[in-house]
Amino acid sequence: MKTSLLRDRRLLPYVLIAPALVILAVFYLYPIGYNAVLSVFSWDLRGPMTFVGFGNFAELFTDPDFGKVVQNTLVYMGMEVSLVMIFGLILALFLNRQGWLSEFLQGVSFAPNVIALVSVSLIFVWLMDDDIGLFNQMLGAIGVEPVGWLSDTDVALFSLVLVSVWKSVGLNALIILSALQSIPGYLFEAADLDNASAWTRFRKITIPMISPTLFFLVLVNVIGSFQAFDTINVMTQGGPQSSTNTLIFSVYREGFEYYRVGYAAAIAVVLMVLVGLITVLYFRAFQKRVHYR
Amino acid sequence: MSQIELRNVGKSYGDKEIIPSLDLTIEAGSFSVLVGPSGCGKSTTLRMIAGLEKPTTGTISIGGQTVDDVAPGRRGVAMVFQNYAIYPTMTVEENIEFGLRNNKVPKLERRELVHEIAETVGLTPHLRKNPDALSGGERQRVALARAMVKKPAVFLMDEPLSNLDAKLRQHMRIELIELHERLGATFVYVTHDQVEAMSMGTSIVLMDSGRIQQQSAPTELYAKPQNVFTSRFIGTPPMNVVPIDAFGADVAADAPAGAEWLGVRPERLTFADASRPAVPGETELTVTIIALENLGAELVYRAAMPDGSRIAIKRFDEIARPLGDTLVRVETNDIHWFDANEERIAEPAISGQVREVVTA
Amino acid sequence: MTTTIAPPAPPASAKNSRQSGDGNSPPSPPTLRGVTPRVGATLWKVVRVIARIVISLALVLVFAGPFYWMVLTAFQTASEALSIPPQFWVDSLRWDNFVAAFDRVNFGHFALNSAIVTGGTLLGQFLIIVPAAYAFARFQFKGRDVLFGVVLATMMIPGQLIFLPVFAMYAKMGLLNTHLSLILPFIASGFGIFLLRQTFMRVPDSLIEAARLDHASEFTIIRRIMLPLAKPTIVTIGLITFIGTWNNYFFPLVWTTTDAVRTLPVAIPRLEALDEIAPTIVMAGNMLLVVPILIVFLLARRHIISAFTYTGVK
Repeated sequence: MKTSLLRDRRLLPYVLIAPALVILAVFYLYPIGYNAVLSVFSWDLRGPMTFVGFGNFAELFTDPDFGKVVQNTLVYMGMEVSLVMIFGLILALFLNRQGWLSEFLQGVSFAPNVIALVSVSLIFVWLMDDDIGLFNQMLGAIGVEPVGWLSDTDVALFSLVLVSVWKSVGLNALIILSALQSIPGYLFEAADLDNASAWTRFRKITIPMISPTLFFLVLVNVIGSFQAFDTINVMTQGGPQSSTNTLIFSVYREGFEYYRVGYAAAIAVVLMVLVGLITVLYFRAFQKRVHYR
Repeated sequence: MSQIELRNVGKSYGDKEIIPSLDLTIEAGSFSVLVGPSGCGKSTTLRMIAGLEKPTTGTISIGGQTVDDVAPGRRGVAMVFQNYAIYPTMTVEENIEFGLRNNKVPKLERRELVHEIAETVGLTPHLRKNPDALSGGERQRVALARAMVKKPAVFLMDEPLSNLDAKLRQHMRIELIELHERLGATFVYVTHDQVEAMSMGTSIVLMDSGRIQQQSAPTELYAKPQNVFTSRFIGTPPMNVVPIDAFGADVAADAPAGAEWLGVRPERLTFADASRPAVPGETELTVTIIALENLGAELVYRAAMPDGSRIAIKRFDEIARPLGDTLVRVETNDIHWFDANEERIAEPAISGQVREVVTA
Repeated sequence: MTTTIAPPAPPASAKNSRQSGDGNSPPSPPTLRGVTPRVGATLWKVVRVIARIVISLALVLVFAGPFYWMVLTAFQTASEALSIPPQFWVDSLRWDNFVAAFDRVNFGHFALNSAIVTGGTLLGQFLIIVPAAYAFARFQFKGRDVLFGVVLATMMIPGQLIFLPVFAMYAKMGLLNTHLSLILPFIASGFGIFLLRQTFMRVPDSLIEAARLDHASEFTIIRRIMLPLAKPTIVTIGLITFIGTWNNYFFPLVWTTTDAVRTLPVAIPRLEALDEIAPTIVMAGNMLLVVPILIVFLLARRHIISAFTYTGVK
């Protein structure tokens, strides 16, 4: 039976893709539906499931903290993506030259990317300690008041952004760098012959030529920002005063700490809708402005 | 030895019909060349014989056996690809023995066969090398060796020489002809190059738009093109095909019934020679030479005729004629006649030759 | 040298300076171009070189500094770590913190789990991705484009959004606290299928046809031709999977209820509880997680960088 399946050239491709598709369906497609189902039930993981209709959503939207959580998520996204892109681009331009120094710096700035985010978080918890952390000691040395990196409700979310940017800016820079280096040199030679200034060359050649890469990176970073979890769980636990509580962390906390699975699933539904919406809007807004070769 | 037969073979990709319906017999032991402009269906035909493409309609047999449901590897054919398709992941030796290995030929026998073939094609010093390290000519030999080692009854070749430089190509042409003589297998060779076709083939199948325009020996193809397409495909520059009255009323009067076009090869036109007046059967007319290509051994003149048609004249004279008006002579016997459908019509009987009506 | 169908050359080490995009600091300030006075140009050059050195040092400090701080703390006593002004050096290598870390956490157990989960994911991915990518690349079949669209769509679904339903699924299937539960979802990587399919599609058709005329089975074609040609891509996918799985914290945390199959990243943060005033022990434990992968990175730096950046470019 097996041999005949493998012999039949019309069936063969289906046999070859079946395992992959089954797994993708079971672990990615089905859970989306199952999550939606969970969101209309009340369940504590052990007892029976009780149908509550849109009860979970009703509770969610009347919870004053939830607005704050959505706000945190979006602020985090905005800060993270813009900082990574800006510093990534600057770093890429700085690294865009030959020689051992540039290559060495590429390696150094990329290194954080291969390290577990958990490890990075543990290191920065130590660096950002209010009293004895290196950051505040250094600030003290130059006469600046200590900053409540992880204890000040106005700063904590930004501190998490910093950690994330520190970890991923090197990767983003090197991806931009490889796009920079794939721009054909003759374009710049032609621009030189047309007496274009450095700024004009950058604006009219460099940016348009790497725009597909920038477009792609922004999208990847946006989707990635919604998944930020390790830093929050290790560094702030959503605090202080929920100032770093995001949607993904709420799903985790409601589901696995408070055992309100239905409620957590409802938050996940909101998160999915948000991700989908932002992706679609993003494509609508920018795709036409990207220069594809 | 294997005769290849295609009966009613058609091939379409979706709505796009590449080959409407093909009937073709390739004689056992022949060196048959499928030739035609790109997109004429010659490669598709070859690939259907190989089993790499499935005909939409019709049936193919090799050596009397229908092969429609036979896998490519079981048809007893070997193929040399245009880009050689040498497996870059294997050494030269592994490349050559790959087919034998897949056909479960015992190891000792495999070694013997591989070495024997390598000796024949002169690859022995390269057996352990990776294909990357080989020159174009050597890769070509690997491709040939890989085909030969299987001792197939049919060799299929898809423009195998087009990636070689002119000199090597010339050389390989002769080697392939010798190889054909030696092996006595059936060769089916696809090319778009008429010179390759004429010089190598024992039988030429000229195709256009998925249809066979003419299948015959090279000399016949040159001497008796069966339609305007064929007449203009073989020969450089191509045959001059003009309306029957372009050479004047005398020539037009000789035209057989139904003739609309006449064709005359550029090398058959001569310049009028004052020392030898025109004899019956020869016609003279004044044309205007407007350009000249000097190809060293030969001179090709472009000339305008009184009715405005352009013709080419090929001569082997040593001294080029000046541009301007000159008197050209054509022999009626050298004229090919074509009807309104551009099909050949029987030429006037020449020295006892029987009129034949040719239909394509 | 064997021909391989490789991702584009690593950008990290472009050899061709003419290919380099500019936009970086111009060869000379535009205002001075053409009528450059010698002195001005030389001065400008010196300033630029100094600026470069300063920025380079700052970059090293920013990116390598935190790692250095981790290593330093791991070898310090609590009082050294707390000293004001901070100490930037240790007099002697003290291993007390590492001993304390080992006493508390069964590293062998967690490291073994990490190895099993990472190895299992790598192996499983290879077995699942290769046939799927091959079929999508080299076969015409009904529904192919739709099914491939499904594969691509799963790339857009962040795995962390669906951990809850998957957890519930595992609970019902009795898969909780098994290594399999941490491996299965990741072996059909849509990204891997996409990348490998691209590579397979670049293999010339005639190679496959020649193999079929040589009566090679589909399996032989994959093993003798496709896989050797796709080796760089497979290594790329493998490196990314290895680093991602080894470092993963989220899934081993949320898809388990006991320590039975949890991995190193879940275990390390627990050391925080051990440290009373300064995180010396947790930094020591952290080193055990960081150093192996840093060594791998140092050894295969170019390949890892090109793997990650290649995936970004397309």
